[in-house]
Amino acid sequence: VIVIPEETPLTEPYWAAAKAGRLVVQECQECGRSWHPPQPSCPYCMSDNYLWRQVAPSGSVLSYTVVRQAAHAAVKESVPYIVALITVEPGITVICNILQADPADVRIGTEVELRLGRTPGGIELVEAFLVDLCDPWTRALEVTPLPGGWMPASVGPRSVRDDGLDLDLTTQRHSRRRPAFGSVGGA
Amino acid sequence: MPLAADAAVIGIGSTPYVRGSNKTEWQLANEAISAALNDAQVETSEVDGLLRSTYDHVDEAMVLRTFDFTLTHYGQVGYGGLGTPALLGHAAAAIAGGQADVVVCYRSLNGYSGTRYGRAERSLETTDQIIARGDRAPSGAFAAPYGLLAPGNVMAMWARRYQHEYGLTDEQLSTALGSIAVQQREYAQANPNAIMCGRPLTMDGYLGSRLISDPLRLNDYALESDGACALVVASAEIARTRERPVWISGSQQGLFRYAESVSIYGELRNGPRYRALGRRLFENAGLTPGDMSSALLYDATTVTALLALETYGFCPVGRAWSYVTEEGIGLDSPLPVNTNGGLLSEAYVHYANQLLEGVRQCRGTATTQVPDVRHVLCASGPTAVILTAADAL
Repeated sequence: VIVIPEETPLTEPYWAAAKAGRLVVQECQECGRSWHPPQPSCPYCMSDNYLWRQVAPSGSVLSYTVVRQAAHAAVKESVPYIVALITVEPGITVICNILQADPADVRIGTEVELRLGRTPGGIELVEAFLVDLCDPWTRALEVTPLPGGWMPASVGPRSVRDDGLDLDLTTQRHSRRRPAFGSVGGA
Repeated sequence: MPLAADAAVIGIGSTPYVRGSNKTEWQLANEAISAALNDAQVETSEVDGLLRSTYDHVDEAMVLRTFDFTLTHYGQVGYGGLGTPALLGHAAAAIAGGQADVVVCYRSLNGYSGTRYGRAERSLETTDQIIARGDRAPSGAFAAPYGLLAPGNVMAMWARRYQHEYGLTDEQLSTALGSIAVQQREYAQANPNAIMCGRPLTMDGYLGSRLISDPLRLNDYALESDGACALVVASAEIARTRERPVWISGSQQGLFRYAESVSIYGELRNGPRYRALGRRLFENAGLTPGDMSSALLYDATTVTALLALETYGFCPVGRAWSYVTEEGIGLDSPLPVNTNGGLLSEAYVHYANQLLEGVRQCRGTATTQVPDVRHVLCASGPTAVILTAADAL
């Protein structure tokens, strides 16, 4: 079973950036604040003048749960797995899975490294790894920001894809990184 | 501000609560509405208002096939169990605004044999490729691909966050949540309509039940059940002709950013915006939390009931866990809560069965009756109604 996030005209830049290995959020050009998940205008000043900005791929656990009973056939083979809320910046929370971690090592406040991983189903998802458990090989794959960290709201998937990321390596990486959580988004 | 009430509940009705109704939700709604009309002693021709949940599969047209109401007002409340108390608020508002005199409210749910709320199939297909739409958590595009699928997964994260915020050990959290589950199960033993009647639960039994979504266990979760409930709300003029009208003396359908039924991006339900709404409810009603004789607090999981004690000012922020551990929510506690067993142990009719229990407490007919009930709070997240006994208005 493959779970595919719907891409809408609003969220398409988010997923396009994800395909290029970047986690982006909207940033208001009037008041400078950012938010997630995507919405049509700034929640703080209501301006719809925003750009998509890359955020640093790290954060801390705001909360988490170890799902032990599958709530859908899609995750029947995946339990137990860890779903976490990660604070990447003040006010910016993303949902992701913490991979390759013993639940006993996960606490609220635990620091994690984030990356965009491609599932076997071809979906780019945020993946978190406990910082202490990150090996040098993992760290070497940290995403390279765009110049200035910016891209305009109108940028499409093709134009943000030209980032020099080694796609073969990406595939290889995810075949190693996702086995514990294969069937959500898995084939 | 003086206590004001323009409308009262004059009738309640329900089906039996079962696991496996072998009936359609339409049939169940029909039974519950019939029972409520009978209890209210109103004729079909007197009903001019109809309210339901947006989640209900039984719509107005279906109800009008079987009951020949001529409606001058109908409407729906949103966000599932979060909106259910607002059925009574909307009924009272329609009556106060002169749009109706007798309003039927209902909720029908085959939550066991039909759509299960503990599972994601109601929001996600079961085909080989599933499209996750929107940004709601659980099940939206930013949640479902991560296996964040059921409300119970989100509420587990609320429980973890609560534990962290107030520095609870795992044991303190379990004991607090368990004290709610165990007490509600005890209430259910006196309630023959409760699905868990005859199946008592000890703290050891609670602690031994399997983890569903850490830190929540099986017995932290509401039942999956089949059943329907209905209430009849009437104008003060009509209500005064009845023996024991239950007055709607306060109501609030609260909502703000990220406060939709199961949200992860906003504050916990004991946060400042929730508490401000809780205070406003009581201020508008001219009452205080201390005036409540009992409360029906939305318990899709134990943690939502726990948080509501803080939302509505029954204990200080961050203290509900020690409050329920030390004082409890039993008949001898300061505030008996979910006296029918609640969604955890009576049935899960999306909280509508808790409105019925609120009415019974005010009438003095509950299976575990709180003595001398004056006011009862029925609350689900930021949405709430205060019910007042006939002799307390």
